[in-house]
Amino acid sequence: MSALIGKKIGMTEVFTDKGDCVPVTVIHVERCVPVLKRTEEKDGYQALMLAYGTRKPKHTNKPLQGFYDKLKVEPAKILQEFRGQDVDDEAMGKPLKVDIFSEGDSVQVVGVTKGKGFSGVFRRFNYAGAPASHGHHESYRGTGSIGMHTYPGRVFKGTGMPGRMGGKKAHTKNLKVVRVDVENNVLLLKGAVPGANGGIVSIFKS
Amino acid sequence: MNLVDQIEAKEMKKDVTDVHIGDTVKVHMRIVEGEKERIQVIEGVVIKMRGGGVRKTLTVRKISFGIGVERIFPFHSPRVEKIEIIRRAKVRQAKLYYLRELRGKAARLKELKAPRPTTKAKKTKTRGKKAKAAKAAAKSN
Repeated sequence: MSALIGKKIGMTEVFTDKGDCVPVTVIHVERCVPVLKRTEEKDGYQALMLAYGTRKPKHTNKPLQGFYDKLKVEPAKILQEFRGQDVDDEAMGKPLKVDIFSEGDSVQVVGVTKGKGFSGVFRRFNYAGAPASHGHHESYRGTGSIGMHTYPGRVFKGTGMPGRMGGKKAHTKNLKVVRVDVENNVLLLKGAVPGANGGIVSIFKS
Repeated sequence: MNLVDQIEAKEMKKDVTDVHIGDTVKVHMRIVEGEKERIQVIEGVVIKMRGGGVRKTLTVRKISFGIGVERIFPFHSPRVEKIEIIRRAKVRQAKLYYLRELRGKAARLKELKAPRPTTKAKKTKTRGKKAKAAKAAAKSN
């Protein structure tokens, strides 16, 4: 077992034994329960389904309630499968603890980035724009050229243009685990993770 | 108390010096050089404090060999052994950036002798209906 679902609480700083100041993201694993196993024989692939958080009865429709009743677990906010993960049969249905990670571990965090709305190429692709002076006028933050001439006679795929930015799944790799608080089920990771405070992130051992 | 505050509360020092802007302080800094450890003392004026909780820092400005030097100390860092207050000055700004432009005598701050009052003394009203009534009552007595 080397994956968890958690909630990004926010960022702060902690000091190491040496006195170094480390920027950390606080991740709280409120309730993360393994509920279902997918097996090679039955499903054609091996995975583990984790349930995260709680769901109010009024938000649980009957088919979903039936699914949870069958597994004998409380309804959860999120259901997510993790490929290649496995736990003992006794651990099924019981909340996972953060002690599957230890201090100094390298982890990968997956979350949904903050939505930036319809953004220009300046912000979205770090284009340089146009000069502000030397007789330049009107377009300062534009794309510039998007292609060549009669040949190729088209705009290449992947050319950066304005559009929706953010609100997409993003991975942050090689974050170090600074502290593991099993009592409160809290992880402190060095550096930033994708998404806003209160966002749901999944953490993998890398 | 939210989780971030809880974590910060654990990191913070329990007995901290009450430092104000404009204070002349001696910061005792623990410095590790290879295997040896020594205490370095930096004396100067606190010109800036920012951040809350464990992220609080203070900027100390001193004139070293005729050159202005500013150092930023994390308030709760274990490397900051202690902070001594040498003198306290009367200041009207939260950030004393104006000291950067001043040299020598002009860069002095007026010393504050009396300890800062912790609570404001209650003002007695001298005008208005209630004050008049109180006055009348005092007279009749």
